Amino acid sequence: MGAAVVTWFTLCAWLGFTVNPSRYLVPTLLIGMAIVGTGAVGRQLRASRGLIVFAQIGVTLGGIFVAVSGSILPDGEAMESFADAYAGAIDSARNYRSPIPREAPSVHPLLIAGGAVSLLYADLLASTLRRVSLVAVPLLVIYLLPALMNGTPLPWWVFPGSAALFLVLLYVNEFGLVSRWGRSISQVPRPQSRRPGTLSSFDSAAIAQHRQHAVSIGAPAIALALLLAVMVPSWELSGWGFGTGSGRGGQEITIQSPMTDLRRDLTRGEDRTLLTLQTNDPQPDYLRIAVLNRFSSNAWTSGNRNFPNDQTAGGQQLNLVGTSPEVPRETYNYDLTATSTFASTWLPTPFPVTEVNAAGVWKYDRDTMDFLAAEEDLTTADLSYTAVGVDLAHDAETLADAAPGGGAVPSIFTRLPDSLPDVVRDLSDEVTRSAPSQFEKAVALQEWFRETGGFEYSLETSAGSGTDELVAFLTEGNGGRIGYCEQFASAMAVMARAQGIPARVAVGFLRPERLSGNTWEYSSWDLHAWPELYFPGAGWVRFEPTPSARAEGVPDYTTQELAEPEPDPSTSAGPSASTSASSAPRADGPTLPDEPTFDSSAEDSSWPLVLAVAGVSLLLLALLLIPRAVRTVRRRRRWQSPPGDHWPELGWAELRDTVLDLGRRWPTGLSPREASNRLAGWFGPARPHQSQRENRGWAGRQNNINPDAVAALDRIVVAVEESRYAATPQVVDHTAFRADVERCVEALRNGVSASAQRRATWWPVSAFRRTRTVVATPTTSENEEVLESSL
Amino acid sequence: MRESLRGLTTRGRVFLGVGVVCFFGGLVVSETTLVRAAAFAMVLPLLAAAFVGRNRYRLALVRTVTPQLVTAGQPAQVTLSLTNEGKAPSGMLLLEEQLPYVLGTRPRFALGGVHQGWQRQVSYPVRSEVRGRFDIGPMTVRLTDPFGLVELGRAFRATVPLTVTPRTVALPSIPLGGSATGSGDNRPRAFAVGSAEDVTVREYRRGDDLRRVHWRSSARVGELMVRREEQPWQSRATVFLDNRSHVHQGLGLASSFEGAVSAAASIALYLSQRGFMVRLVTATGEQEATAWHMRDANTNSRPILESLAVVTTVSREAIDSGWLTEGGHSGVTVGVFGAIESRDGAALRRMAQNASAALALVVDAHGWQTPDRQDPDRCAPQLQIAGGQGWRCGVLGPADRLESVWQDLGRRLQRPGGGASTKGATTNGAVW
Repeated sequence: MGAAVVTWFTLCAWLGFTVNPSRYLVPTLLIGMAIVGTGAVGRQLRASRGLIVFAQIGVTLGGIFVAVSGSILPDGEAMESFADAYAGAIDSARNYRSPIPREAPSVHPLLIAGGAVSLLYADLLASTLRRVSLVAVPLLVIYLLPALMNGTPLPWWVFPGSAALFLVLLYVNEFGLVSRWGRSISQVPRPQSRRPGTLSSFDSAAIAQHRQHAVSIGAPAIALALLLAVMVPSWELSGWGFGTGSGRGGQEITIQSPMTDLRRDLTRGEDRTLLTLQTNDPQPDYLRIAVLNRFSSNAWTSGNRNFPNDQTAGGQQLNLVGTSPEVPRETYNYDLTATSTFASTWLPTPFPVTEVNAAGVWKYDRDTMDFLAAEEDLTTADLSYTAVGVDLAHDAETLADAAPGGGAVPSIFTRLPDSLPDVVRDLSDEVTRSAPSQFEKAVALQEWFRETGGFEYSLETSAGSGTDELVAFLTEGNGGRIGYCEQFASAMAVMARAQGIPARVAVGFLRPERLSGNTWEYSSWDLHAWPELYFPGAGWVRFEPTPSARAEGVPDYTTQELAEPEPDPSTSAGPSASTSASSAPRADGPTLPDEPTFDSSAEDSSWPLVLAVAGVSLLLLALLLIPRAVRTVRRRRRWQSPPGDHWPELGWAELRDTVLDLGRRWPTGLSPREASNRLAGWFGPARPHQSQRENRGWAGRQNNINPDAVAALDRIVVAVEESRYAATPQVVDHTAFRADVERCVEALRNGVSASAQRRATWWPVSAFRRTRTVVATPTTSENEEVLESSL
Repeated sequence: MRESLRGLTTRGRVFLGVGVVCFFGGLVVSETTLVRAAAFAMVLPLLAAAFVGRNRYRLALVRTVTPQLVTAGQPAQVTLSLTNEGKAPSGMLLLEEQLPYVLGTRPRFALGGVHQGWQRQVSYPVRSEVRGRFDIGPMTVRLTDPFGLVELGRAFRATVPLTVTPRTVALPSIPLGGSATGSGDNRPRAFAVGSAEDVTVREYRRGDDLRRVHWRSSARVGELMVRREEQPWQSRATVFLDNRSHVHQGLGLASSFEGAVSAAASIALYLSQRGFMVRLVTATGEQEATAWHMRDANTNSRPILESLAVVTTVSREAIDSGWLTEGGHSGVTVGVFGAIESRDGAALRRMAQNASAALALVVDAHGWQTPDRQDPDRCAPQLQIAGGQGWRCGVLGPADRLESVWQDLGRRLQRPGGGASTKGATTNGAVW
């Protein structure tokens, strides 16, 4: 019962998977109740464990079926809808990031099934097998699942809540065991109302105290866990020398499922200011956030990045890849400030760009020139940074003359999946048949998408940039040739690749709105996607296939008559056209492509941390060594003092310190002779290999284990007595006396366990005591009948 | 703390181990969710150990058993008085009394809500069907935390002995030894004044008249000795128990030896109540603790019963007759024999000669093995041996009541001309 409650509560960790959590929480609650009920009835009827589990499995499967298919009878129709639901759910889970939007096929069937199986497992462990602590296993799986799946955020209260409930579960179980242990004698004696096995055998004070103990362990444990988890990431790995790549030049970063956000960002929410820009550019436009360069049959993804450690946005001069110096250019300064709602791990920059200066570690890939946060928790939120953008004045003539660029760029920019349907290639060939050069082919494609192809811009379409969606998008007919920037950009990039033109999809902002003077503002409705094609000599060149309903203007080089000279830079860019009712970006700030995972972060910033950690460790180590040093110095000073009458007392003090170090009590209030009797009982053998583990206690003079040491002790005692009481003490032979003391020390050390010897060496207790202090330890009465918790 | 860490239960150990591994694993992959859960699993047992480890309770236990000597089958009450002299313990204290299995299930107590100066009394009964000497205790204490992650075990050391004596039956009164011991009273009798050599001496005690100092003995012994001018006249009796293993059959409670012990205990108790100084002699000789001493009649039976509680069979061939002093007198001797053989005849004869009256109870050892088959003639050889050496014999079978056998034995005694004079007679019935 309790286990099911805890498990169900922990299922709230999956809230982030879906926008409508009640659709899985309610069914799992009902299924859980059915499972618990079945188990309880089974136990009441004293059914065998196997039978109970079998019945519970049946109930679980039935519950899942009813909840998913909505039908009680497993007839053909219901079976079909059941199978469909699962196919859709698996599909959605594969294609969408969480939370899965409403439009997509629901993933609730998967969540319901997972939750129900967890509930079954938890109930089996806790109620049937009575292994309550093992319930932690399904809980942990549920709890970790969101983290393992793309780091879906977890409501903060899930962890403390489930941890507390789990502790309550453990406590109840343990309390049951304790109260079944036997009679409680916590109470004032009274006629026992013997109700075996009930909690009532304890009085309320005992229960309250026990509960209070549980709270005083459990609450700090949860608090400490939360605290540790907060503190730990700040240490980060590089500080501890983990990580593989530092100094090796670069790391690969895998980024998955990129575009799926864009659409969601555009479909919901209000217009929110994301970036403000101050620039001397008279007409700022496209601002790139990230580049998608890998096309698999499922989607455009950002592929892998190669980030050497020196490629950071620290204001270095950046080269324009593939752009020949002859291309005329203007440079403009951009001062960008992101708002707090815009938390992107990619840094929006103009393209091409020659200099970016941003706080934090932002790394870039030379091939794509997009900037990615290379530190944990580094986002653009509230970030101010500067960039120097280049406005290249491309010339259509030059572009048309450019050689095919296929070999000049990494093959990832030209690769098409083998499974690409022929219809795409055919269509591409057909559209570009009349164009002689690659540039003209590209222009023809842009023209086809914008004007002649009969495409319509709309957000009311299925998402995706995979081949299936591509074919659907390109096909004429019902629902065909309708799409939004994602489809246009990806379709054009794919069709350009089909013509051998290197192509990629850029994601970013379309164009800003002017606030005043040279201050501009990018908002969430300005989010956009467009293709970039590569032409040797010109570099990566932007195209705009999205119809004018969304993107009014096209790059001017694509509209030039090939013979004409280049006109002035674009004047066609108007104010944002993205105010169409259909495009309503999400409210809480878009999260663009996925957060990448770093194997290592930059080591530059970690050096101080390493030094601090090393310093603190050294300090701690030094502190730990102080007692030993004090003890050593004290011993040395004793033996180095000039020989004289006080030597016996020094030797006696050394013996006392040794006894204290070894964790024994120095017998106080006894004469030296009596004390030596006690000491002799603690002697171990002369050789440590037959070391006695246990204290033999009062062996006294009868101790025959180490007669040499006993004899030495006797001589010491005589010397001490003479120095204390004799009018003219005999002069001691110092070497012999010292040898005697050392023999006794050795014997005392051999009388204790090896660990006590180590402790005496490394953590001598006597170092904490003043040398002259008489150790005031009251003699304890040796009461046989007293049990003391001497921990 | 170290000890409480060592006291981690399997659950605690698994929590700690998994927690540590996942914690550092989570650090390596920098997965905060995992780190958080792992930190929880790691911290919990450590906190529990620290919690249990800071205990400074001091529990005192006083255990009393009443009565300390109990007949088999009778209950005794064990009273525990617990006091906490230290601080309140954190966690639940689980107490378990260590008991020998024959005394029943081990009593368990759970202590909650113990505060400083807490004091409780609790008692439980014990009962044994088996004679013997048992140690009650020591009490073990387990201290657990509320989540079952740490469990510390500790034990008191003191135990209390409980002696369970054999079952006895009250025997009917029969005349024993005739007039040899008079009425059986203990009474001091005046010494017959004879020569000085007859005088017995004892150590000088304060208050003795110096004129009574017996200087010759004092010179010999080295300390002052005084003449005893009176001697207590005691009715003495000897109970002989043949505890050689080969004369008995069966194991445990159902063995003929247990029957013999029970019979010997009943007889010893009977004799003791009749005013005899009773001593117990076994095949290994006189029992030190039960030698004749000056005692009250009441306390006399106690050491004998205690000896009989722990007496076991010995594997020796012959009966030790070293206790039969030269010319001494054993008083009334009651022997409980098993399957004696003819070679024991010599020892039996000496015992009978030493005794003022010799009564033998022959335990039908084979009959104990097969209780259904009653064969009155089975013990004929034993009766012949014992009877031939001057014992008056009775047979005790497994189904026989000791009282009736004893009564018959008494009747036999009364019969004039009985005893050693009727040699070689055939046996019939249980009593010969």
